[in-house]
Parts: sequence; C-alpha cells; structure tokens
Amino acid sequence: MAEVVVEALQKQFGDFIAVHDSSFTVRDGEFFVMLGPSGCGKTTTLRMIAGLELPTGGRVQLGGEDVTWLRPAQRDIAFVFQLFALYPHMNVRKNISFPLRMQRVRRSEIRQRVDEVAQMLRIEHLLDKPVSNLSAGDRQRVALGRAIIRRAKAFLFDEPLGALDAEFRDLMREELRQLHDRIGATSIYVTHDQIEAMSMADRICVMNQGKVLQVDTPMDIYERPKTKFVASFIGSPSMNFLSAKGRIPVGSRQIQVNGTCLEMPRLREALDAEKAEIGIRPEHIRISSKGPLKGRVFAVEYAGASQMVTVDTSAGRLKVRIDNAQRVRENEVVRLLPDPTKIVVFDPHDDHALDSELFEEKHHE
Amino acid sequence: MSELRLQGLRKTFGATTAVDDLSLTVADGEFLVLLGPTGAGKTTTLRLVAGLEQPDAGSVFINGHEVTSRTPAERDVAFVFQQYSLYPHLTVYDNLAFPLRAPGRRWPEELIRARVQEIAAMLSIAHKLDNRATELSGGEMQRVSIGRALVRTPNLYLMDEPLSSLDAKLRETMRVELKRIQRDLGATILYVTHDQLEAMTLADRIAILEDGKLIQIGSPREIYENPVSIQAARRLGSPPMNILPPAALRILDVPAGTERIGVRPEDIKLVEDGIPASVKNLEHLGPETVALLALERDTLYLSLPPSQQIRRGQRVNIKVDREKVIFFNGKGARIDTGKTAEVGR
Repeated sequence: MAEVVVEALQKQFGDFIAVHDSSFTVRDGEFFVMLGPSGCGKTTTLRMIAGLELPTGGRVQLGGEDVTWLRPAQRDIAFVFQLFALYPHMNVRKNISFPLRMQRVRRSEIRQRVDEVAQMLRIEHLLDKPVSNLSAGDRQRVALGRAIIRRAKAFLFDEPLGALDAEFRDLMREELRQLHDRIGATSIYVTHDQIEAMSMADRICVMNQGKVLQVDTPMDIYERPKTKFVASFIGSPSMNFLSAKGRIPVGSRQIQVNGTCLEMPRLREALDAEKAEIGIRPEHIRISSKGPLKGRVFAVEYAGASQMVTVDTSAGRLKVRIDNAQRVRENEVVRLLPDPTKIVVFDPHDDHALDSELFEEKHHE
Repeated sequence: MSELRLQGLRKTFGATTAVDDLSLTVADGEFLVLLGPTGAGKTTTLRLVAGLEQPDAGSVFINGHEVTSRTPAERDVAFVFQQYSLYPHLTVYDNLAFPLRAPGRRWPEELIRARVQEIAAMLSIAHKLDNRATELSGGEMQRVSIGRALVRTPNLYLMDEPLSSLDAKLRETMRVELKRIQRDLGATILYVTHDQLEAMTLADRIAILEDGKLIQIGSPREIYENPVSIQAARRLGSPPMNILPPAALRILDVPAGTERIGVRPEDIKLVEDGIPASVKNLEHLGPETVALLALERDTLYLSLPPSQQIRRGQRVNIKVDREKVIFFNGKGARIDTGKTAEVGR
C-alpha cells in the first residue's frame, strides 16, 4: 500500500482546461473521495492517476515513485469502473483469478488467493457458478474481487455504485468501506453523490470547474466549508443562505441580517464589501421563543426521527430541522434561534468563507 | 367532494397476483401515498383506479358511484407520470391550456387564461409561459406536467413517482410545493412512491403495500411509531429499525410469544456501563452519524448527533430503554403491549 501525491496536475483538451493546477496527497491506507458535479474534472484526475490520460502539466507519485509518464500496467494500481464488465463465458472463479493467470502466478497460489478474496466478499458459494445468472450486487462483488486479488498499491474507483438501485447502494457502500479497512488499502473513489462521499470517506476532495476547492474530513467539509459552493453542494436539505450587511471589521461577533442582529463566531478576517452572506445548516436552527428571527411556518414535513420545517422570514425562506417531539403547525408564527457557534460568513465577491473561530476547532481525523 | 373507495380489488397477470384483495378509502382532500418496493402492486393499483387496467375482481367507487366498468375519460381523473410527457412543439401556456380545450370541455379562452396564469404562478413558472416546452429544464418540465394535471379540477389526482426523475435539491423543493398546493386546492391525491422519505413528508396517510397486499395504513407518525409488523417497521426510517432476538439487547420479561424485538437506531444510547459492542463502520452524514455496531452475535445501527465523537474499531457500551422496544411474534406480527393507544397523534 502506498501514498499517492498529486502535484500541480493539469489537463487541457484544446482550449478547454479540464483540470487546473490540482495538488493533494492521499495518505497510505486512506479512503479518499473525490466529489463534484459532472464535468468538474474528478474523473479526468482519477484517469491521470491511473495513467489512462496523460497530464499537460504536473506530476503523480505513487509510493514515492514518479509514475507520471508510466503506462497503466506499470503503475501497480487496480481500477474499478461504474459498469463492471465481467467475462460472460467464464465462471466466477475464472473471472476473479484472471489478473493472476495473466501474470502467470503459480496455480496453488491462485487457488489460495481466490479463496481468500471470495471469503472476504462472502461469495465462496458462487465460485463455480457462471456470472450470467448473478444478481447486480453479486456481479459487483465479483468485479471487486477481480480488482483486489492483485494486491495493488492503490485502488481507484469511478462511481462503482452508480448503476445499482438505492437500497443496494446503501448496502454495497458499507461493504466496500469495510473491505477497504480489512485489506488496509489506499483507495481513491470518485462520485457525484454527496451522501456516498460523506458516509465512506476518511477525507473528501471537493472539485468544481476543474479546481480543487477543499480537502478535509467529512465533518469539516460539512461544518466548516471554505466556499459557498462546498457549503451548498453538501447536505440535504441544503444549507440556508441569507444576505447580510457587509463592512465587518476583524474581531466582530455580530452580523446584521435584514435589521436583525445575529451572534456569530468571532471573525479573524475583515469584510470590505458592502454586502455579506451567511450560511447556517437546518439542524443548527432551533424554534424557540428566545430566537431573534421571526417567521411564518410554510410547511412541516414529518421524517420519522426528525421533521423539516420550512419557515418564511422577512430575510428569506429557511429550512429548520427539529426532533419529532416538538409540535409545530402550518401558518404558525415562530421565532428562530440560529446556533451562534455554527454560522459561516461568505464574501459575495468570490464566495469564500471568511476565516473565523469556527475554523479553529477542527474535527479529529 | 371527491372520495375514492377501493373494495376487494384484485388483479392477476398470468400466475402473478399484482393486487390481492385490496380495500382502502381515500377521503376527500386527502393525500394518500402508496408505498412499497418494486413489484408491490402500487402502479397496478393506480392504473386500476384510472381505468387503464380492468380488475379481475372488486370495485372502484368515486364519490360513491361505482366506476369499475367506466372508461378513463368518464372517471374524470388526472394522471401524472414519472416521465414528463409534454407537447414539445407547444408553448408552456398551450401545454397547460390543452386539457381545458379538449373536446367536451372547451372552456372559453378568458377562463382558460385566468386558470393557466393562476396555476403557473402557483408552480413558479409564470415567467416561462411563452417558452416552448423543449426550452425548459427538467424541473420546469415536470412542474408543467404537474400543472397540466392541476389546471382542471378532476375528481382525483393520480401520481406515479412524479418527482423521481428530478435531482435531489429540486425534489425537496417540489415536495414542499406539491404538499402546499394540495392543501390550498383541497385536492384528493393518490400518490405512488418507493421512497420512504417522500412518503413520510407528503402523506396525510401512508398505505404500505407488499406483494399486492395492504400491510398497514395510517399517518406517517402512527406507522413509524406503531408498526403492525416487522415488514411495516422496516419500510419507514433510514437506516431501518433494528430487528433482533430479545437476548441481544438483554431485554428481560418480554411478553409471551416474543421472538424478535425492534428498536429504532435513534433510540439506542451510548453509556458508560451497558451492553458491549464494537464499531464496525461509521457514516458521517452531516446532521447525524450512523454507526454499525457488532454485538456478541448480531449487528445493529445506531444514530448519533455528530457532536458525539466515535471511531471505527472503538469498543463502546450501549443501552436501550424498554419503553422504546417493540415486540414481534414468530410470524413477524406486533405483540400488543397496551401502549399503542397512548402514542399516535
């Protein structure tokens, strides 16, 4: 297993820059997820790490070795695609052992390693079955088996669960993460699905328009987004955004939203612009008579363990997530209390999050 | 007044029974959601109500009149499909006006204009009325499809997963809008989905279907808190309710006949001294953290506030309050312990 270092990587197709000057390090044994909307450059980056594309600038290191210009086969990595292509005329055992047979590994060793992998994936009972009759989940397990049997330095995944239905995806996501832990692999996983990223990653790299915006743990990405794009891309329902008064000096602890003064984490950076924008997650707002913001309940959605309340205030429409014990009615006038330690302030010019005490206490990795 | 009543409805396709002796009533102004996995009979039920399929047995009543042998047009229901089906060469306005200009209706143009504008405003597409259908985004097209159903006031709206082709953000917005519009219009809606969150957030009542049979019908809260069976219990909630042997959670003095117990992930607490478990997997979902725990023999899900720090591989201790536990017999049916009455609304 190995560390993967991506340094100032760039890819240009004609006039179009697919990946701009991207740098990050994937630690040895880490489950690293690259997240972003389609066209953000995540797959191109992954393909450059794999050697399926050549960069127009920058370097890729694998376990300390510069592999930027090596062919895919020389890199000792395993790649799992979205559509798992299995050899239809071979049975499960032959499919899984294929990479080892190509490498002319001894037959007794092949048998031992196939058994090991099959046990790990809980498909021992399927080894002698043809692949054509397998369920989608079992086919994906076989494809994974074929990837991990090689004991590569790094595993690269390109939306491997995209083709599965929702129920199955939840299950496979858990299996895949546990498999990673058991083999102690370094994994790089590309997805556009924020839930997949949040639930599987040790760290997430958020990309948009060919640029790396933030690399952090799921909790930090969620609670301490560095840009408005990251804040709005992660979380469902999305973070609430409200416009606020700008021209705020360093050290401020308060911000004006439509004439209402809200407490916030102490700023460590000034904002010169006329206007600001604040972000607050639905679960960081309480419905409480002590709240400074007044609004009318537009909708209440029961969601089992919690409920989502949509409130129209003079500053805009807000989503509030509360537990299912509190009773709130449609059209009721309520007061909202945002958690002062959770507010993020954005600079509307470039959408970056202003540095504040919020960013001081990072989550443990 | 528009009430729908299904009585002993049955539909088979060859050897498969798609709908099996289904009886239920959708009250006037009610939003009723049919929830179930693929193949549960939800869409077939909807098509039987619309008159697109004929039942093998049973009857459909609309406003107390039997309509089982009537044509779809005679039933006066509006259908919204999963895939938006708009006339691509027409403008949004003409798409919305289409049902009102249909033979047999032929509303005067002034009335049509007023109605179309009202509905377009409700769906926030008033500024797109002159655009061709093909110039719209997916979300806008689906709003026009829903709008086309809403322009006329049929007896009943039938909707088959109308939001499932939209992306997550838009689905959320549309969910809130649709519910609000239904309230404002007092519309009676029978709505099909396989998405438990959509069902809970939209429905006045949910009817859970499985293998063509009605498993439970009730308000989302009733079903979530008081499921009648393991099947119903696992249909709502994500992650689903944990189903375990009673000994796994050291629940003593269970009611006679108990084979399994059920506990929601949010009702399990981490404590200093309790049942030992180890953390097999962790999912930081943002508002909550979901942990997969391994007990001595079983595994279970636990959901925690994100402020509670926990690591993969960590040894923890858990505890469950007996009041939070639901008991099931060997057939998976709920054993009534007398507390059912106090919960609910």
